[in-house]
Amino acid sequence: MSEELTAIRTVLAEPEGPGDAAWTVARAALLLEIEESSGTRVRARRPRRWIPAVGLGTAVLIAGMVLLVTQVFVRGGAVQASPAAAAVLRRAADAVLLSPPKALKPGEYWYTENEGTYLDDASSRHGVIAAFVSQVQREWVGRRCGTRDDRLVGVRPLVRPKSDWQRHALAGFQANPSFTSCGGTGADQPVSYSQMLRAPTSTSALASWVLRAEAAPGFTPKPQYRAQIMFTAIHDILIEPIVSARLQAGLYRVAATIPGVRMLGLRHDTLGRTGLAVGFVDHNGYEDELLFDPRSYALLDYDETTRHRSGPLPAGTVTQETAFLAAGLVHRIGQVIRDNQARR
Amino acid sequence: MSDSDRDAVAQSMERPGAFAALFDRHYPAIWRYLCRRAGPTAADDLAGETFLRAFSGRARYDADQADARPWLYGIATNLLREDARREARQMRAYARAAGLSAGAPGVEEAEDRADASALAPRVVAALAELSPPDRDTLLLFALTDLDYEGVAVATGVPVGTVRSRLHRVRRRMRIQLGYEFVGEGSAR
Repeated sequence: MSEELTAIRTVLAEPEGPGDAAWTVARAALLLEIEESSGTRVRARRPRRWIPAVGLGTAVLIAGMVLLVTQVFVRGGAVQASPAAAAVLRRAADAVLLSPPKALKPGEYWYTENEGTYLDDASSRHGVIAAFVSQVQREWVGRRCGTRDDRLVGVRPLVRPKSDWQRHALAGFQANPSFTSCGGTGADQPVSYSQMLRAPTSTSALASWVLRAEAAPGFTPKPQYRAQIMFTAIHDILIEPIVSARLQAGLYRVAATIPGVRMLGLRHDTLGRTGLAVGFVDHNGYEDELLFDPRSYALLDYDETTRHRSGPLPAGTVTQETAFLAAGLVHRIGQVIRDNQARR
Repeated sequence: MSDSDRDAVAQSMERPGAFAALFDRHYPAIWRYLCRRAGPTAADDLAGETFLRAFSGRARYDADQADARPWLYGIATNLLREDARREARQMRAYARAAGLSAGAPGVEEAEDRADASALAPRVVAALAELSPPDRDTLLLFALTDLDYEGVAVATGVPVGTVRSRLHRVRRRMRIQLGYEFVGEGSAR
């Protein structure tokens, strides 16, 4: 008999569970704590074991020197991505592999809806003015021309007024309901679609591939710029209308190895979505950030923000942003997905 | 689950990110326990703090314990002790509102609420009269799925002490709530 326990359980009733906000904040706080502690490893208590000290000491010394040489000369003296940032990126990589395959069959299209914002300038009778331009871009990518290449077959920029986005002056884009049939081959992109399909699978090979793909022909980037180039290149590939899940996951794993990539904590995108931000500050003082959904680890947003005043732009200005709104398989051009989910 | 708790803590010594697995596994349970004792607002604060403290104190984790829940419940209970006013405030709220859950009432739910309304003031009064160690022991046993050994780990006392403490406290509660005392048992 345990009426007293039943009475306690009845009065102190079982709640439903923590809300998403509490869970998200608590988890982000823990991840930040983990990151801050990464420089001070905690040593587990282990039983003492006598070991051949001289041999082990020599091995450790050699390994340390190899590590030092790798860090200083290959990676420009920086450290790897922080543990918390790497953990988020690895989770994102695992999550993206669970998403539907993007190998398109005839009659299928991969639909993406992104909201892009960037700093642009325009001439007026008052002179050249800078403006932040925001547009929603919907794209349908399908197989065309009977080849293995996935071709861009439709682009439809839309006007989307954003009255709540007061810090941005909007420039107008005319709605264009027509499609550009078989418009691009990808040749003008940093990485073509066919190149993407042939991207290597191992993380180290993919890292080299990303670096080669982004760097100008014949140009060997200095070690201190490699991280910046790689992080930017990863963003450039991720915003392509179609990126295979395998490549996307591989890019996240590469990002997890980039020195200087760190956890930025909880951030919001322009649509108010909360996410775990992983970022990198480049040599020009711009912070590049990838924002992941804290539950699904889907990519919500990419943005670039000034850390310091840059010309007329005050610190904290978002100079470029891509909010990933929706993505998925559809069966005709014009069909949209309204899941408001981030890109997979 | 249990082995992976111990593994996660051990791995986090070298690779701190491994500790996040413990959060994902046990945060909801820790939050519910704290919510029942101190209310949702306090649970939001203290559940996160529980894992921060656990992370910073993971070197002291007893590697003999495969299951991390007793350890985590113990940290959460210590946090409640440090902020006893929150629990006292929640207990007063239970007494006032009879600790009722919201939602569309069915017949059974209405009966449950009536039971809770009648019980709440007496349960709250009885809990308030317990010493903090007795109250922690009783509520850990009543509100979580910990057994005697688990409660012992959570409270940092020998399992024999937990047994005798629970025997004494449950008997006292039964008397104060007007139930006929039958015996200790281990019925839950």
